[in-house]
Amino acid sequence: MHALGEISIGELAAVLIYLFITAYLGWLGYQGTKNSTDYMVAGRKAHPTVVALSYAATFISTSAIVGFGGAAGMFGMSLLWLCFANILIGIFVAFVWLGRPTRRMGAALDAHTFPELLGRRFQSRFLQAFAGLIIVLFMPLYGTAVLIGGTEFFSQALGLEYGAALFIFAALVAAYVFFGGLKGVMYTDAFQGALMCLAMIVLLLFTYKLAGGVVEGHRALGELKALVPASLQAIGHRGWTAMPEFGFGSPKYNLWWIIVGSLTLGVGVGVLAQPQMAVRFLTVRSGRELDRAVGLGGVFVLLLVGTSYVTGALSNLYFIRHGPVFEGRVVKTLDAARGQALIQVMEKDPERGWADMARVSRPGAKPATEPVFPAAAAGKGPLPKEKLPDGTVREGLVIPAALIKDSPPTKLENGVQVVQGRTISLFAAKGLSDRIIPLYITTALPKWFGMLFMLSLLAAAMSTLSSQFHTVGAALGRDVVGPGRGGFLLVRLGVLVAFLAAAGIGYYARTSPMAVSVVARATAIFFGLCASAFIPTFVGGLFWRRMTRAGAISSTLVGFLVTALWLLLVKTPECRVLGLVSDSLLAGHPNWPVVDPLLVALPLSALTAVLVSLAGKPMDPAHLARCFGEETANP
Amino acid sequence: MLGIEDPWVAAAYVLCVAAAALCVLYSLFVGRASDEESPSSRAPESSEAPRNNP
Repeated sequence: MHALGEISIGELAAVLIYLFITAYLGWLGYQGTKNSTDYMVAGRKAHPTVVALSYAATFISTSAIVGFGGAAGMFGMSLLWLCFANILIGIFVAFVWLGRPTRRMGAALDAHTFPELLGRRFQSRFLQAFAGLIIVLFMPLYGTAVLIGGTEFFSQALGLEYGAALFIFAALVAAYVFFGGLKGVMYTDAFQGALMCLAMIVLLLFTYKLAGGVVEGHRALGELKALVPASLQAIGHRGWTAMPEFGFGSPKYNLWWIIVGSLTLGVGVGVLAQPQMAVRFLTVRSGRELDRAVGLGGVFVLLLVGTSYVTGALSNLYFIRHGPVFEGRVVKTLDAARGQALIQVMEKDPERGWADMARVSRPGAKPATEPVFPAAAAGKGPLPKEKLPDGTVREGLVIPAALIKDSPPTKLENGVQVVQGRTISLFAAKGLSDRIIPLYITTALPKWFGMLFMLSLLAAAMSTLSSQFHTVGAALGRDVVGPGRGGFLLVRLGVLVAFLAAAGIGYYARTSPMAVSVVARATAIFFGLCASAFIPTFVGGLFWRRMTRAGAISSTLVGFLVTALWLLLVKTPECRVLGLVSDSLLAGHPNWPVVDPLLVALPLSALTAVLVSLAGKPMDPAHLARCFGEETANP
Repeated sequence: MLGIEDPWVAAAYVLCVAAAALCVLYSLFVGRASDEESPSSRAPESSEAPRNNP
């Protein structure tokens, strides 16, 4: 077994070469940046390959690969519905249906940012500024989540202390954004996207080879369904190759609403209104470039996202067959024919003998695992849960395991039989789903791939972070402060502010458990806010001439407010993390607390857009003709 | 299908590949046939604010 953090000269050289190429591409962007149009929308001349790779790389961050891949390790292949949504909606619908009209209208209105497109379409400086403010206030949190993910790998790769790694990593990304603008961002995205694809192809091939092939791997994964932890079974988990149980009105349907509602719809639809994605439609010369980019974009997302989820799910098979060995006593048989059981984990101390392993939660401290001597003092069942006088809660570490048939049990003096077994990904990763993919990479794959994968995660983080810095910079410098005041120099200043905010929050977040929790939810919060606030205004603006300024503004405000209230008061775990209430106001009414805000706020904001628009006067036909590119030159 | 018992999960797997194939076919056929050009009279680089602010 090898550790990702062990760094050799060759590995250090690989990181430095990667950083050099990134810096060179950033410099190329700087060389090609002469004016605001170059800085903000890459001169409206981006190549379709660059657009496709940049779009996919910006979309897919470390959270998609490690976070959602780990979620697939927990929840299984039902997450592939999100992959399908990412390709069909995030690429095909976005490029084919939204991309062309966005490009056309953006060129007709000379819009340089997503808020500016909305603002000029509806002749509303307030709309542009409000949309810009949403980006400035909430995107840095999302950026921080990505920054923290990238810093973990950066600090390991170079052996740096976390704080220094965070600052250097953020500064490196900010540098090529500051100087190179969107051209620098997209050139580096394209390189990073290509690297990510290469890593994912290798990962997919290795994973299916280790699993024994596509069909056999899936079949064997399906046979592990008895090992689903009880806590996940209780919310509908039926195995890693099965959909969760569907229904409404009981906690046993929660997982279905999480996977289909929050993940598939929330992220799958939410991407349509992500400002840093939509701006890429403004970067091409014509609709033909977008048509050409669709194919590459679809393949890239399939490779990046599909591989992560399939690998995450199949990692369970790997750990059951080859993962760390646990010893313990059987407390419940799950599937006798397959040798699957729940075991109370035990460890042998050379001097003190066998101990039961316990999960221990002390007030004010992180949960830990500790031995309790002597083993099986309370009987052959699991170590019972108890609260100690000092407030510590202790209960037996019980895990689902596949027993190793070739290993005969050890019989203790008190009659307890100690068996050996291997467990599923979540328990092999000590209960942290974010550790599943890195653990799988370091234990199952050759060391050289660990290096390639780490570089691809760095690439994923940098490609997403650079777009966030650029978008926040543009929002602050152009949308909130206003166009015509300082040009793209002010946007550069905005990029600096974005870098300082993300680095500051990222540094502080480590010291505050509440901040850590908020940052962890930041991606979902930002996607939800953008989707409900922007989708009706954006789509209505592109396709519905009857939509008015009042309709657009009220829709955006309703979408934002309803999303914010739902997150603050109803949606778990966000409402607990944000702290305005101790628990969801609908805690006693399943499955409302796990319903994604998008499912509530988006219909309301869409309805608001329609009703308010129809109640008001239509917009000026001459302005609409200009928006839709129907102006004719004066004779 | 594909060793996956649940038809909904098997469908998701197949649809992922099908969606990517749809994207590729679209690019190959529509991308090559389409010949839309950008507007010949593109607006000059402008920083003017929109009229009729609320």
